[in-house]
Amino acid sequence: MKTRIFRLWVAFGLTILVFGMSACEREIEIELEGTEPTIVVEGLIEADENPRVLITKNRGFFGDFPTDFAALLDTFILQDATVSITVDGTEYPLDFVVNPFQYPFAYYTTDAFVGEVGKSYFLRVQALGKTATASTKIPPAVPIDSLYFGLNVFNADEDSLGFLYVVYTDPDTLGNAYRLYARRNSEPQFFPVEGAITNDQFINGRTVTFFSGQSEKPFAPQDTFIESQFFYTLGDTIYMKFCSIGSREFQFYNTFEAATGTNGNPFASPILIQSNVSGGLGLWCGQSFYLDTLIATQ
Amino acid sequence: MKNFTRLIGTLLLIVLSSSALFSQKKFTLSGYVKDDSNGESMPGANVYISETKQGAATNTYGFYSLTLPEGTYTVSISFVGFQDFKQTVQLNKDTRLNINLKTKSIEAKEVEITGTRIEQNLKSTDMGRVEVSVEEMKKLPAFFGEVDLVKIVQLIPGVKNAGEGNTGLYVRGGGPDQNLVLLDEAVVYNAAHLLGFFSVFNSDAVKTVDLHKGGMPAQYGGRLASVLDISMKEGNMKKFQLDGGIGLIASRLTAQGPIKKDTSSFIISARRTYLDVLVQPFIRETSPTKGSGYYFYDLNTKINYRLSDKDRLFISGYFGRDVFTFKSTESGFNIRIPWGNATVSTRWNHLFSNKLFLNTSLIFSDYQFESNVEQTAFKFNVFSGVRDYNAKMDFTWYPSYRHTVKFGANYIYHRFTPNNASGELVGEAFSLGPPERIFAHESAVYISDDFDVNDKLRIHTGLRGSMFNQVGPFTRYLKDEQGFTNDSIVYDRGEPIQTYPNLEPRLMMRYQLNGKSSIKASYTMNYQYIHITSLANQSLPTDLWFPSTALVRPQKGVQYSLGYYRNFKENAWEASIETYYKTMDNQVEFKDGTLPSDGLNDNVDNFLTFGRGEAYGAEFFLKKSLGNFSGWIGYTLSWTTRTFPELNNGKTFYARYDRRHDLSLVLSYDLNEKWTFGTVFVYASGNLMWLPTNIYYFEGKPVLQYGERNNYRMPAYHRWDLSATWYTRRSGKYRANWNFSIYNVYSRLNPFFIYIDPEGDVTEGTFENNAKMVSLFPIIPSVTYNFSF
Repeated sequence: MKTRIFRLWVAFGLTILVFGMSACEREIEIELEGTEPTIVVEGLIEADENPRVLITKNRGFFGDFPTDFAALLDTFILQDATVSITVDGTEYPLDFVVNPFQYPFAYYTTDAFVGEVGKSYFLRVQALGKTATASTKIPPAVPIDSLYFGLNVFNADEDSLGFLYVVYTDPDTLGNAYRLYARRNSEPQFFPVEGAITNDQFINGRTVTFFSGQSEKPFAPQDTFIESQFFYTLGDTIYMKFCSIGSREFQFYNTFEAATGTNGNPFASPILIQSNVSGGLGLWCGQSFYLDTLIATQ
Repeated sequence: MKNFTRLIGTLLLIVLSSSALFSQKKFTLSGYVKDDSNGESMPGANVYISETKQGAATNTYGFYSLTLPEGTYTVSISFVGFQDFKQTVQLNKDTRLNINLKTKSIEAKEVEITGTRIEQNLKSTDMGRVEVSVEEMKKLPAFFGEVDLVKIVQLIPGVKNAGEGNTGLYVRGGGPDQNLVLLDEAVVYNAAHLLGFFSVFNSDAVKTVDLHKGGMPAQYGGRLASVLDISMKEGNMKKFQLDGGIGLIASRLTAQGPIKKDTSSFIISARRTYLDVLVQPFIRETSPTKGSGYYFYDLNTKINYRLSDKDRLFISGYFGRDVFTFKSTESGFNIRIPWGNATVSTRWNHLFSNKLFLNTSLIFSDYQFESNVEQTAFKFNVFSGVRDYNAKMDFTWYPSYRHTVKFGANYIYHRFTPNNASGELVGEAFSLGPPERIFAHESAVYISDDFDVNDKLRIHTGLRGSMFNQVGPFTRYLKDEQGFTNDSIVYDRGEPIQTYPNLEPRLMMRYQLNGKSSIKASYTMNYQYIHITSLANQSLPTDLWFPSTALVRPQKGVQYSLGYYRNFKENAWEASIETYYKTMDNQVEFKDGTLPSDGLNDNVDNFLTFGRGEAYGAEFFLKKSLGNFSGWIGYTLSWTTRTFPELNNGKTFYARYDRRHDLSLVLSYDLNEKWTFGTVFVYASGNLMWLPTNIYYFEGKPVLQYGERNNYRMPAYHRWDLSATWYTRRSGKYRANWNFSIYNVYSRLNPFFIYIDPEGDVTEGTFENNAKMVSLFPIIPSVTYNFSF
């Protein structure tokens, strides 16, 4: 959070400086050849749940995007991949299913097994004439100590909007990492909260409090900030899902959030996302979770 | 170290034995060359003996010394823009000859080409060295009316700027941290104001600008690419003088004069921008950003005192700050960011004899950056910087007219302050880790000899021994296999942590083919112990200097150059072709995936990766320095690459500032006593950028996928500037001129940077991946009024 503010003012201050000085900005045409299509994995195996693997591909950056959302998804989602997961020496094939009412709309899954804490899962994807593989392990869940609601401290006049505060105690072993998911009131699905990704590098074994806003919905418009979609309001029912993940998975989310956070920032240099998929992009993530609920009161 | 002592011994022996070979009775002719009008010493003036066809140039303090066999000699002293001085000297004893050169009148310029002017560019072993006269610079077009010597230096072949309006220097494929920028011997760590649009050097306070871009002599070290050695004026020894200038965005005022005539003098010079003050009346009281603004100022001052004929004392100082403030009454947001340099140099010249000159310097130099952010319930402060205490001794010894020997020692105590932060939230202080400081000793000894083997061959041999020690206090954070900090080592104050001793040989040769042409070759090795690397695309005042540590090994540079030099028309035209090949080891970059927050509670060097650089190219230069019509044209063809095992899959990539073609044309023309015109044209291949080639979605967010490093070259940069200087009064007590400049005459919208902005709502079909090019400066006319009395 603090470093975010630091980055924010640097970008902010410099932007004012530069643009205040008779700067002129115009769109230009760039022709850069994209790489060959690559497999992108967005796979989750959670404790006591069936695996869910969305397989997409990348496309050239420049050039027109389909204006129809369904057509756009079509250009990304790979429907005819061969996907399998190997656990305990047995390989299970995954089937393609479509569920337009819940993200990720279409994915590969199986009901042959559910995730178990401590087990490793090996994923193999064959598509686009290529093979991508990845391996992940489900770490044990860490319970939270308490939850509470607090008004936005960055605005002294605030009387209804605020943050969710999460208190947890990190186990004494180094290498724990966490990601917070949340949903609010009648929202049907948990989504990750932006910025709520952390590990125990500096807080190993300690009790920690952090605050967070609402979860971010997939395909939310870029470049917009709406207060009521960022903060919680007094009276909200907040459902939270506190997930434990591995180190490589943390590396991915941490760089992924930083990279998407700097989209459109002229002063940022490229941040390369640390994937755990070999022969492809994205993440194959094993996680366990702890659930809790809070009604926002003062 | 033993080898080193032996080498120095051998070098000394060569010098001594070769001077003993000519055992004829010899005497020394020595003295100072000064400007007659104000008593300023004149470095780089040519001293020439017609009979022996021997020449020398005065040193930084205007001192020369020539040892010759007994006899009668004609001594000629010359300097561009000054009348030649000629005198016959009966040399039958050691003779002191102090010379005052008189300024040329405008009309006399045409006829002043004499046969005695020595061709310094042909005769010296210097390669890739360029001196630019500040007076000449003032005739050229100025950006916003501010004469900027760094911008003029960028017009020299082999030197590149970082982009529009930027004063960063990229010399022969090196990075912006590889230039040693000296102001009266003090290191200036950040020579830029306002994101680099202006340099920190106030042209009114500067006397000479000397650039070494290749063949760095042994007295300089600590950087790989170049030395930009800037000397401040000493102050008028004869009379009190006030100079000033009123420009569009800044004004300057300089006062100088004798404290005691011909013995001591002072100069004080100030400059401040006032855009913030000028716009204030136009900002409404109720404006939500009232109180925001930006300004910078510089203060230069120098005192010099001639203690005796043999001793001279100089004390000079520089203080400059940029201040950026932003206030938003609506959100209660307050930002104040001051940054800048401060330097103090105390120097003492002593002549042990007419053959041995010593300069001793004590130097302090400091760069600080700070930022304070305040909001209703929240305070945040970040500070960083570097501070040096430096002591130096430089001897120049003139054992015989065939040798000039320089030797000396240098010691610097560095204190680096990487990013430190503290803050307050609702009245409660929080800390982001203890303030971290890194301490180091940097020391060097050197010896060099300029040896005239015969009339045609001159060899400059030099050796520099340098050493860098990082010392405590320091905390080293140790990592496990997964990259987690699992332990740390704490070093106590003064405890040695890491030592790097190195030898840096330098060799330069000149072979004169005839009176009109010569060839030169050089080999130099340099080590650099302090570094900058930036996570941002642009050079920013937040860029941090950090030292070599156990993980960061010193940068090592080796440069070979070969050149051909030829003069035409009685030396009125100078032409040269220089080629170079350079390797740079232990270059520093951030690892892929490093985030700006990663330095907290950790060592910055844990996030760095190391590789090798290579650069080569050819520089073509044609210069006319005599006559009413003067200037130069320079063209550079160059390549520079980097190879890092951990970056770009280990594949070699072109550096960001790899620039294939670079052309500059600089001309000035003195029409008559009233009018002088100047013009500059530049053309350069665009800088490289690293742009995404692909996109994919993850968790419904667009993710940019980057291809090979620096995969896109921006459009070419070109620009034409014009200036006219109108001297309303050129002589007499009160002198004044108007300088009219037009920057970017044909208003070319040059690329400053390009950025990618994914915009819109993908579910509504309005999503777009836009590439946007930002250009800064269209045509900018400006006018400056300069006066002197």
